[in-house]
Amino acid sequence: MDLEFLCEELGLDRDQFSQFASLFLDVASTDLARMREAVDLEDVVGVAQAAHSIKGAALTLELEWISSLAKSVETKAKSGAIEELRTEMNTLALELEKLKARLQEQFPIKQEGFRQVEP
Amino acid sequence: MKTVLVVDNQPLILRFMKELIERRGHRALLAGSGLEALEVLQEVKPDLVFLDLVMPNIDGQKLCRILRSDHRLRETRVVILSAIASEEVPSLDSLGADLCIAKGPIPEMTLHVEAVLEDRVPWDTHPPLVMGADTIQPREITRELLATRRHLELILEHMSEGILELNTQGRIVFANPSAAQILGVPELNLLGKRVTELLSVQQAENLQSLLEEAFCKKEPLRPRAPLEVRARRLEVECLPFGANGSGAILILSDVTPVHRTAELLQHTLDKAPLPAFMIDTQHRVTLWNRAMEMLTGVSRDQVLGKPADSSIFYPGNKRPLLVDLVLDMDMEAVARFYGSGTISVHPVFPEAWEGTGNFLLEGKPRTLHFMAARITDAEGKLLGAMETVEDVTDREELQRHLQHAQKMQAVGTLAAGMAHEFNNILAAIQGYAQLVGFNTPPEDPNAEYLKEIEASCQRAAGLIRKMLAFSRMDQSEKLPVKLNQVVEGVGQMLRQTLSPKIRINLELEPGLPFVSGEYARLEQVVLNLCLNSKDALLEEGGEIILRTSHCFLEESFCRSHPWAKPGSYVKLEVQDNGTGIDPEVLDRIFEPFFTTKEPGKGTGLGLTIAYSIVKSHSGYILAESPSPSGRGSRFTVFLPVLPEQEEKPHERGAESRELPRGKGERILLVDDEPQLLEIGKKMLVSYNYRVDTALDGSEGLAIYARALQQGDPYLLVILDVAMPVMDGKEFMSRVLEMDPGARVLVSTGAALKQETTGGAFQGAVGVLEKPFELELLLRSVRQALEVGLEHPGL
Repeated sequence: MDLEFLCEELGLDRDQFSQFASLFLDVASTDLARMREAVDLEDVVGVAQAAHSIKGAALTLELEWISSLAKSVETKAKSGAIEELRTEMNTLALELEKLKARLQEQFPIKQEGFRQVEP
Repeated sequence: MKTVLVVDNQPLILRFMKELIERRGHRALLAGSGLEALEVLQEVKPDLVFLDLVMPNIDGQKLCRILRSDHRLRETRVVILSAIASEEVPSLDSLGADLCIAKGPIPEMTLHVEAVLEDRVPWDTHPPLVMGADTIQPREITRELLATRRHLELILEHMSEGILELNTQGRIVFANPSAAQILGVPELNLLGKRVTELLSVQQAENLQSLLEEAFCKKEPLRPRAPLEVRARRLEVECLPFGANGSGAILILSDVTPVHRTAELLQHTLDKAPLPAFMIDTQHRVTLWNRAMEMLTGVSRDQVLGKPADSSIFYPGNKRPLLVDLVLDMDMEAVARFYGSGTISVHPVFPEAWEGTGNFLLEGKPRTLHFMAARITDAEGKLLGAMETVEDVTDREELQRHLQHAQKMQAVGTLAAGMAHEFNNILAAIQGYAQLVGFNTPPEDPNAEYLKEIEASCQRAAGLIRKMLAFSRMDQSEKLPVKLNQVVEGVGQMLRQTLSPKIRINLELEPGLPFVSGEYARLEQVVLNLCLNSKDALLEEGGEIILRTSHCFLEESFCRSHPWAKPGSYVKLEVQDNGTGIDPEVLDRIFEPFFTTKEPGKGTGLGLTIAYSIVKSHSGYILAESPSPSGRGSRFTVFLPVLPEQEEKPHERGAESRELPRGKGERILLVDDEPQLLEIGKKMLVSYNYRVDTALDGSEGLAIYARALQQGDPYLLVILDVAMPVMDGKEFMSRVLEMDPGARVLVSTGAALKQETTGGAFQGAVGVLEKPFELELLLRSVRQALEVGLEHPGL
């Protein structure tokens, strides 16, 4: 997972990439919390919506492995296999943590200060 | 510089777009939802709008339609920025969007957005151009999501209930077609509006507090009463949702038709004169009609929606009503609260229970008949129960009057029959005593005893006449009478005979109109009433007031007093300040032989006679105790005023005491009682008449015919009415056939006297009352003979 390469691929400068990625992580962690709550409530629609949101955002940043994990969660949620998607969900959480660590490692500047975009 | 609005719920996209737009020197406005976008659009007119299709609250499709329906924004370009755009192409055109960019990785999106910002795109293609669709693989899951979404949308579009989704500020972010139709506002105009704007101030406040309560409790709630919007009645269910009550769904049901039916039912029942009310399965009053309001004095506003208040019928007593017990089918409680035998199954409707009882309504004692039944729908589901409460006080009163009248009539008939028998026996005793008297010189000591026998017979006959008085079969001629004269006479007599401790006070209204009546009988009424009052006075004495007045009984009075007929009456009141009359005695006071006096002290006929005399004068008599003064009792007599006011005072004792004698005229007596024939013959012979007798009609007819042939006809026939072989009626017609000039005097016992008027006896010259009393017999015979002479053709 080379974020420098990804940054170049997306045609963004380092600052921009750092901000986008950090924003993605923020939003994804909110979505993940929503997903966990929905799993506990066996709310398949809630799980699918949260997964869908992560999937779309990940695609925008071309984080394809995260996108495919989210897609798998979404598919299983839609088929009602709540118990089976826990593994994917935990892997997804792990991957997001890894991404966060890598971002801090490769783009250490200005990554705090972005919580949520206020329109 | 362009003003660009970006609407997306994905913060990453917003951030990306903001950077991109501002880097190109334009002004970026961001909105996280359709609703936020509407707020921004109220302030600003952007040149360009990028919007996502899938968003919470108001989604992109709706927002797009709203934008396109806003004339102010006709210059604004609308670009859809969506991951699912590739699959939505056919519908994009209808949304009114100018262009579509498929969401994808940042580099591609950057290219497309820059092209749009710099107007390097063909704006007006139909359908709109989709940029970047080729880079996107249609994804399985998106299709699935869309399928689910369409499925739900289909349901929402076609359900009859209106669905409104509100955000925390109470603004509408979703409305289905039914909601738009029910509220009468196009869907696009509903979006972004506060739901309270559609309601009156009061209803808006109610709904607002309901919403707050629902958010707070996090459970579905309904307003107590339906909302009223544009003359429609809407039932609303409020469902809060979201973890911290972030929004609410309102489900609207148009219950106008149901309400119209309910109103129709209410109006129909309101017009019904029978008081009725209904309760639902929770025992709450759902209907309370006008008649019920009038009966109880309790308005429907006081009771609707609450459990029926038992204190209306049972002051100070909290207990279930019959309707409550019937609703629960709690028959054990019915027996406990009403006692056994007071409630029964309705004879025609076995599902209904009924009973009658005495109640105090608004301080007045009333007899109420109540009937309660469960209400079920066609499937037998319990909907509630209803009760009717009928005021039968007047009907019960009428029933009592009727029973009383029937009893009096039965006793009267019995008395009349007995009186007839006694009359015949008395006639014999009196007649023989008189005959012995003729043959006894005045100086003989037996003459004294004979006079005593005759006097006793007179008294006995008087008693029989009294009995007949209340059988009403004895109707003598009535003349105009001044009631004040009668009262004055009785008053004077009472002052002379009663103890001086008893004050007799007369309060007579001067110039009273005449009543039609018999002086002596009216005297008896006054006397009997006074004697009754006297007996009620204590030993230390008291006061009897005799009061007369002229009054008019109005229609309204007669409605509440079913025995009375409207008209002009002379009123007599006899009031005392004595011990009064117990209610149970008051009920029976006019019954024959009913007395509270010791045996031997009263006959129990005094008030009965007064009652029947008043009745025979077409009048009314009332007894009240205590009297309006609070003590004793009061009897009130109403006698109808004589229509024509000719003064024909009842002359009494003016006729000559000398008995008229015959001139040897020939008379035929026809009667089946040999004793009567004998007495009659002897009386008439003694006064110079020639008399023959016959024991039945056919014998009499033969004798009459023979005398006619012989040229020495009978100038008068005294004819009994009831006889075996040939009765009076037949004899009458036959004799008139034979001799149209025949004079017949009909003789009868008082009991049958009314049979002699009219009909077969129309040709009679007069009616003679049995037993034959010498003076009356001689005067009647004389009169009959003279009438015949004056009018030979009769």
